[in-house]
Amino acid sequence: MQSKIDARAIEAIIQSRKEGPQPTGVLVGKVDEVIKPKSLLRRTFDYIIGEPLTYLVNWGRLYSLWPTHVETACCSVEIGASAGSRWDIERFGVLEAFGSLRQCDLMLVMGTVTRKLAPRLKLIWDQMPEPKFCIAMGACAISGGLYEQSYNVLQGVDKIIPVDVYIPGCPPPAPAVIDAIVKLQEKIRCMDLKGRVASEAYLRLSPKWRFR
Amino acid sequence: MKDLIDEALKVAPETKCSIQGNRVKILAPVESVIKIGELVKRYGFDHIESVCGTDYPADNTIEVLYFVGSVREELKSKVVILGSRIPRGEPIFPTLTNIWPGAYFHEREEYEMLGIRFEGHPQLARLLLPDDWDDIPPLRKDFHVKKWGAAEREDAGLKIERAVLHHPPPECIPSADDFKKVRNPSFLERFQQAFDVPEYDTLGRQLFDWVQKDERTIAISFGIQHPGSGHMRLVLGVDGDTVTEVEPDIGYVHRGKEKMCEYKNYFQNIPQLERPTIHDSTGMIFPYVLAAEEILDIADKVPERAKYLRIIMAEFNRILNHTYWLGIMGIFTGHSTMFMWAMGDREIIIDAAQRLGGARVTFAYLVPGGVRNDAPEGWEDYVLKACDKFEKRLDRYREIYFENPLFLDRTVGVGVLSRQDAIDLGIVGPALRASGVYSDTRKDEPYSLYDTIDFDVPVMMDGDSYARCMVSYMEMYQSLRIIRQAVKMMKPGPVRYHFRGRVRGKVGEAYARTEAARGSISFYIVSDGKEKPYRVKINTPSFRNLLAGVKKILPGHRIADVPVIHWSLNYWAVDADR
Amino acid sequence: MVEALKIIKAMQSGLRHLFYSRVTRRYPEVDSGLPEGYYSFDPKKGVATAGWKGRHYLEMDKCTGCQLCSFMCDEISNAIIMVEVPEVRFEQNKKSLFPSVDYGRCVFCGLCVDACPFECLHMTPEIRLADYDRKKLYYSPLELSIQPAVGKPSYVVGKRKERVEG
Repeated sequence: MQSKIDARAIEAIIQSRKEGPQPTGVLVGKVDEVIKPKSLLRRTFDYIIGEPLTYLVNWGRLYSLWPTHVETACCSVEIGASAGSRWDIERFGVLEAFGSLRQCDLMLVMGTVTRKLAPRLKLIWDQMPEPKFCIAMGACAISGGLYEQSYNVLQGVDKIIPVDVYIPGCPPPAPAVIDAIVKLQEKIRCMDLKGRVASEAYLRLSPKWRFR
Repeated sequence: MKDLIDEALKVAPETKCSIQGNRVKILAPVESVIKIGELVKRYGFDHIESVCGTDYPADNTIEVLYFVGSVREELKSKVVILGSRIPRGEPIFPTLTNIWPGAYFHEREEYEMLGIRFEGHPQLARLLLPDDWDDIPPLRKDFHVKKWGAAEREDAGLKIERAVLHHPPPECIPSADDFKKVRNPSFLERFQQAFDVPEYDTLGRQLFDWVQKDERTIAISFGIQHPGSGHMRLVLGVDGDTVTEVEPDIGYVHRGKEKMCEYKNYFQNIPQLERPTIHDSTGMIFPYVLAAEEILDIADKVPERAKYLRIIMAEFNRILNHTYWLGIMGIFTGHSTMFMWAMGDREIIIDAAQRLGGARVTFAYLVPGGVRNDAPEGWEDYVLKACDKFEKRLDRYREIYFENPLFLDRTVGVGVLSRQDAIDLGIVGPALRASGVYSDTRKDEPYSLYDTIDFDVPVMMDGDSYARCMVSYMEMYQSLRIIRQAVKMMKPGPVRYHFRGRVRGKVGEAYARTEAARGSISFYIVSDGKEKPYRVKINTPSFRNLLAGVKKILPGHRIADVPVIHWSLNYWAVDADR
Repeated sequence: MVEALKIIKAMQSGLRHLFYSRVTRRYPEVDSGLPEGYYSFDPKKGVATAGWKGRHYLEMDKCTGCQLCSFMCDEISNAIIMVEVPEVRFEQNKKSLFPSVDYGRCVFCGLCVDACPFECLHMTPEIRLADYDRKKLYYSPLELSIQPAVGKPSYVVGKRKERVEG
């Protein structure tokens, strides 16, 4: 009884789901570093000042993810649940700020974006200061989900706003929201001072391969 | 009911009348609709439920139906369906808002969705559709929705080949594109253009003009990005700090469910129909399932155990809805402890419900013919324990919230709705019962074995925000009582009628209503004998409550009271927009 | 004065919670506490077994490629697409057609499980599906055939058909 499913393939898939693909003989990092090595002076400067400063700034960004209070649709029920006492996303610095857009750096798109809402959502996004992040929550925000046949629904919020993390589900349960927040924090850890993310491939590496 | 029909026939002899159970359908010629409407109102039907238009291109007509219920004891279980057929090319119908003022927004919705012009309507304007809508009314049968999916997926670069990939693609080498945070500039450009168009907020401007009656009044926008508004906007006319006029601007979550229903069969409709109120998902599809069973002709084949499981799930959802609502009410009254408590205790009920339904909020548990799965082993004991635990927690709310002077100051005497207004405007649910009307569909027209269960309906006479909170709070105790009884009365047995072959509906129509957490909710389904429904009308409590309620209640109050009144009506914009 | 006493009473009621056990579940460190069973459907009785509706689990050696799950999902959210996996061949599935699920569209209603007449599609309590990349939400049949680390099957695994050699 020989299976035609390659055992190594399944192994690789499990591995990739667990910690991302392993590097295959390529030095992985920011493109500049891979392609054009920096001068010794620059590297020394980065090592002594640049990297600790980046770490410090990113540490500040990590635990002050204040979401805007814009509820696009019904997924806000699960945001309410995850802000409640059982799951408590305030542990991760996600504080329902209820304040000005100028103080927010996270937009949780809680569900369907309709044609009427889309320009307003873009307006809100434009008012937020950099660096800002967007989490698309639920099938409707990712791709339109149930509303493929609807005349009034935007098929995925990434058409108008760059999305950092996608959470599948309809609605995603509160623990899945927490997972997404943790993933977003992973992404922020890899940011440089200007707020650019190094690369998505970089994120997929297991932590031991990452530059610090 | 016979005498009503006789009188209607006297007014217009060509009226067609039919009685089907508790539903009386009167199809009158257009000229005599107002006279018969007055007759029906005089007879005692004073509580407007819904207005529904159905397009029949085959006959070249549009059928307009008014669903009218009553709050009188002897007529509570009955519904009069009054309507008429009008030509499709020239759809003009006399407005009935003079008879039932609650029909105001229902008529505006049908004007937009089917293009029916209601003559004499005070403000016939757009309600739900986006500002840049330039197509024919969407519920006309010649409006076809095409699937957006395939082309969009190609855009996103999602190739089907990806599905058979064994190894994940070698993405370890970063490309220059990874540095760009903005991934799809063409769409951004398109939306940038949308801002350049000066007419992008046309309806909003119209509403601003409406509320700005004189020079002293300032129009302000309350929403859509406002902590107290939710997914909708209230355009307030303000004189100093006092609200003088309100125009709600809704439709930000309008997803066209009624049109989508026509493309799916009776089972495929279930997931999408419970989305309007996901924290009350079972309450939302309960009437749909009852109506669909009537259409599929299996209403008497539903097993008894399934009926009890439905009741338990519906009552779970009632508690989930009320606790969520109470938690947000805590935030609006500046009491964040209440939010934390309500959200934490909600999880006790979610734990019990997810063991049965397999999800945290959207269970998709009810189907035509029964429920989808039986309870797991030991679940009954778990539920009884959870009920005890939750009831202990509920008792504590009284001392921290309902007897707290800080909460009383914000709510007592704020947003008073009189009994007569509540009936005239067609208010439902806790808001109606807080105004002193004893009306609960579970008692009025018992469905699904609710008549075998002993429970009370809390009613308060004050009609203010506090009364509405208190009614909802007391309803949770009654829900626990119902759950305990139902768990004990359940006997082992089958839970689902097993369909064989293709599922087709019979030709006809069904109107079912149940009591969801936010109030009476009803579905009107027309079937033409095919696998998919011909027309589904969803009539949600939020649409009836806020739109009529806010326009009546809010003027005269301070801006600071707006969120409290708005939320005490238990409004959920997704529910209203559908 | 009476009002002040009432406020103090309310505060006292809240303060009593300092001595209660903690409600918060420290999720990423500890287990999420979701129900463990799989959601699966018995086509003979027409009734499902209760379980969490999360990521699918596909038993490839039972799947015949009949596409009923795909037809069901087509009008719901169009998440299931039948794909050909030429590397895998079983006797009951000559064309090697298997369902793949796009979790960017899936709404986890479980009606595809109800539609399967061969008990080969189940839903598991796996909810950790969030990702940075939209394409990674696409799960191939091979990925679906891996049992997740969480949860345990609540159904009786039927006799599996033997695989074709070569």
